[in-house]
Amino acid sequence: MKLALKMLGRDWRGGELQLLFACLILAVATVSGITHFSSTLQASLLQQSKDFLAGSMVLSSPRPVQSAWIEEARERGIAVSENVGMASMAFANERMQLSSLKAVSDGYPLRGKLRIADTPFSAESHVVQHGPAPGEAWLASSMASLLDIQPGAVLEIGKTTLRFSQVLVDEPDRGFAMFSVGPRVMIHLDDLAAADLVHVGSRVSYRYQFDAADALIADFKAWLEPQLEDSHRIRTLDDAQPRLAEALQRAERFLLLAGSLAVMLSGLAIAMSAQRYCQRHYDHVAILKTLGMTEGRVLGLFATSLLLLALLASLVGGLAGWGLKGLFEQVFAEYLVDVAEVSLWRPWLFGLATALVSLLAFAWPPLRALQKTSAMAVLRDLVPTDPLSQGLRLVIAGFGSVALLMIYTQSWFLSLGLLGGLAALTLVVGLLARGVLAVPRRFGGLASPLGLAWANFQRHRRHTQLQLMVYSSALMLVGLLWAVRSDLLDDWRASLPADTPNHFMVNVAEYEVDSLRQQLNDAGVATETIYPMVRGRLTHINGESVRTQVTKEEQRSIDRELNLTWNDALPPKNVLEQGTWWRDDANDGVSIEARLAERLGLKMGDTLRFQIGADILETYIQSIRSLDWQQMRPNFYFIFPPGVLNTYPATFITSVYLGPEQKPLLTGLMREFPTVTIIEMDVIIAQINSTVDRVSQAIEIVFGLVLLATAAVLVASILASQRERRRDNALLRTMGATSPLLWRACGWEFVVLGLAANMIACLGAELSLAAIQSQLLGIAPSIHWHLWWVLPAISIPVLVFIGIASSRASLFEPPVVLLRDS
Amino acid sequence: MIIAKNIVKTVSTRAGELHILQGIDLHIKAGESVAIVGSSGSGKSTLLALLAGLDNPSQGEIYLGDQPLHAMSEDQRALLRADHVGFVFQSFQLLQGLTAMENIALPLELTRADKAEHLARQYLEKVGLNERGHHYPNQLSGGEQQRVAIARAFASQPSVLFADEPTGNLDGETGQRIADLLFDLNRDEDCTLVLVTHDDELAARCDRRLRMNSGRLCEEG
Repeated sequence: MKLALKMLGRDWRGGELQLLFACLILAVATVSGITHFSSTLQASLLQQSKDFLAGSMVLSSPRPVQSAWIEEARERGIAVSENVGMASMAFANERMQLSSLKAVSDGYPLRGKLRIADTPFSAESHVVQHGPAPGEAWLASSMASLLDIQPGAVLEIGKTTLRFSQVLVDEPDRGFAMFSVGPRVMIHLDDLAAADLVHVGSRVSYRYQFDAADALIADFKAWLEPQLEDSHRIRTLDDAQPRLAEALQRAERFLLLAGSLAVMLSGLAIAMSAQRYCQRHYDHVAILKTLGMTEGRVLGLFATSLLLLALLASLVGGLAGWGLKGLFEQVFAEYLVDVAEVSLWRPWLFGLATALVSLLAFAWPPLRALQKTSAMAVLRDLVPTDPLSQGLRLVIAGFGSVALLMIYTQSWFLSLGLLGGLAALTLVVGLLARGVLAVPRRFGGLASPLGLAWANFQRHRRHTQLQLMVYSSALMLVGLLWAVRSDLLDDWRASLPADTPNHFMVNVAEYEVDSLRQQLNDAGVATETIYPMVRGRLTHINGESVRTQVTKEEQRSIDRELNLTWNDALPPKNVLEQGTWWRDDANDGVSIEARLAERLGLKMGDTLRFQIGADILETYIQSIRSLDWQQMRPNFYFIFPPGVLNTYPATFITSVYLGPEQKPLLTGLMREFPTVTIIEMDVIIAQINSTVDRVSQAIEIVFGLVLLATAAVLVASILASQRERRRDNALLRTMGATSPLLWRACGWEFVVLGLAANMIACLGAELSLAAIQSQLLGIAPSIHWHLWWVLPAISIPVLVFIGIASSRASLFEPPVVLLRDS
Repeated sequence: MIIAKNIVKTVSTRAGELHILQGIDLHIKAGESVAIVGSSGSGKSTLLALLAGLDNPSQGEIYLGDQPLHAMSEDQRALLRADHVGFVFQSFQLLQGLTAMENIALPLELTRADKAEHLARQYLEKVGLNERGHHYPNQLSGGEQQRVAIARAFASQPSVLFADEPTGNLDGETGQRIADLLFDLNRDEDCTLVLVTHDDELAARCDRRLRMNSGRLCEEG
């Protein structure tokens, strides 16, 4: 240990370790920084997602639940809030309006915040962490508008009189109220009893929010679930907001991908600098062996030195990563919420594990060769025979890479996919580089910079091949990351274009359809199709009751009144998977949504029986459609051909896009069509967009880090060839080559390398992207033309700059110094 | 004492087997100084490497003291070298990352770390470089580097010192001084010296001279 420490100090002073140390620090800092920040970001997003539930878990029930359950939760240290929802008439100003009443207890919301304003439809609002006080009512703008009252006015709910104190702009768990019967009125739970609205048979929904650490919630959920009745429903983050969950999942996958690439790049840099370190110690080991050191001691000495270096690097890198994470948090301060449960040690341990596994996988093989250096090398210039075959070294590096990738991604597909891509790249690049360097053998005169550069390639063909491979791999990874990021954002934005419908209008009566369409057209609002809706229940499949045909789980989803519609054309964003659309004859059946068909095990031609009111309707599956449920449009499980459902009573539904300037239109529409319920989705869409923006900014920072790792790889690969470069340049200068000629030749070398590497990188990136897009992200493969010009335009100047900067010693030092050193 | 019996060293080349040493027999007494001379490629350095245990013979037996080098593993030979053998090379073979002082201390640290610094300083003084202990090899002249190498070789107080063309990279005057230093120290330390050289003058200072010729060894007057 003492000797190892001394050697470490000596190597440090001799300038042997700085590169390896820097690479390790970069690896640890990048990994721990990314891990720590992404943990914080994910925990923060998770917490904000809990806001959508206004707690960590929600229990809903049509009746009050046993008070023992609530007491049990409180005893377990879980915070509980309660709210009761129902439809109720509100009276004010000699008007009355059906409202979606929500009575909330103290403590509501446990998570998230309420947004309130002083006046209806105001652009200015502020957030609060509590509901209305007893005696007060908070009204949605539309409600205030319908009742034609301003804050300060008095309104009656049931038998109680309340003061309209604030305008309710947004509530965290608003998502549940999407299909409520009217605009929101929020009151305190204490006032509900005074209002005397709840009687036997009332349609009331009770919601209990629970909030505590995840483990406590999980335990409580496990305790509670066996006691639940069919009418009880538990919601957690997983099933709260599918769109957000999907966005989070993609963001997480992307951060993992970025982290994996950073790990691979760092591993590459460590492998190269360890190789260089070992090569520079062959003489050293030969002398040590001549002086009597055994192989085991040689290995122990160098392994201890490298381990000490790894520990030191993980400490410094951990600190740097911590600083980096602090920087992230500063940048994202307004987006992050206080997250206490992010472990401080985990990211650092990840960094340390990365450093150790990288050293083991990438530094161990050259270290074994170093150990086997013959003492005879002191007498003759012998390069040690590698005790590990090339194949075995590759296998070790492969296992190491998979181990590193698995630590992060926990996904065999991603780990092996990335590694497979790199292996294929190595093969292709090796062949391409050989082809590129084979012809022509001469390129201009030797006295011209380009000619000299080309001669250099030819002279060091093997090294050039290696460099080409390194640059291509690094550039490919950067290109890959960049393109995937663009794909993700484009996909997110494409799924929510600026004119995405942001208001639903439901309960439109048949006689109102034409005038509603007319009014919207007059106001310049584009209308989607207005779909009829008939309520019906699926009772039999192929003549047998659904209760015997499907699982209990599935029964829940269909054992209720479903919205059935009819339409002559396939609705937008619906794709026919099987079967045909209407043939306009009496034999037309029904079109079913693909996922439901899959869940219920239905196939083409199966017969279905619906009960609509007292009537029975028999039909068969004529087509299976897939559709994106995330689209803010009316979506239906079952679509019938026109003419089948016309005789049944129907209401109509549509969705429209209203810009902020068109919002006041709502007041007029609500007055004109008092029975129509308008659901404002714009706030939810804004929440989703804000999440997407946040993630995209995080990705940009991670991308910057990966670029830094790439730069480190470039420097490492250039330094790996530095010794030869110095010797060659010393000889050339001795023979009369001028400094300008040499640095121009050096510049050309990197330009040509850069061009070749970019071509290969773009090709490789496109191929890998096609796989990633289709397999991992679930989006259609496409060609990324921007890669082909942006990547070279940025990377070649950077490569030339780093190349010349790293080679400056050999370009400008007097030849005598160079000759002596080399 | 070094004994070599019927040493053969053969290497495989594309053109077939190359016999570098062909049946060498040798007996060197303790405290004796022996010069091995011969033209380039005659096999001098190969013989030196075998006698020092840096390499294994293809055939034959070599004993260093009573230790059979030919029957020992690489690690066993390394341990033997650490305790009993010193080296001086034509190209000095100093570690570039270490100072003169550290280079001398290195073999001592391998065997008796407690005295390493003290002994290193002592030998640095003996070779007249006590002012230059903190200089790195590339800050020293060729002669100075060879002095450091000689100090390193003697510092571990070996029973046998092997020197491969110790003056080969030095000018005449510097070479003379280095030879003086080598023989003086050898006498003072009372160790066996095996010297490979082209230099007849240097060889003449040894007790015995052996000539290598096409892989065979013969004694010179």
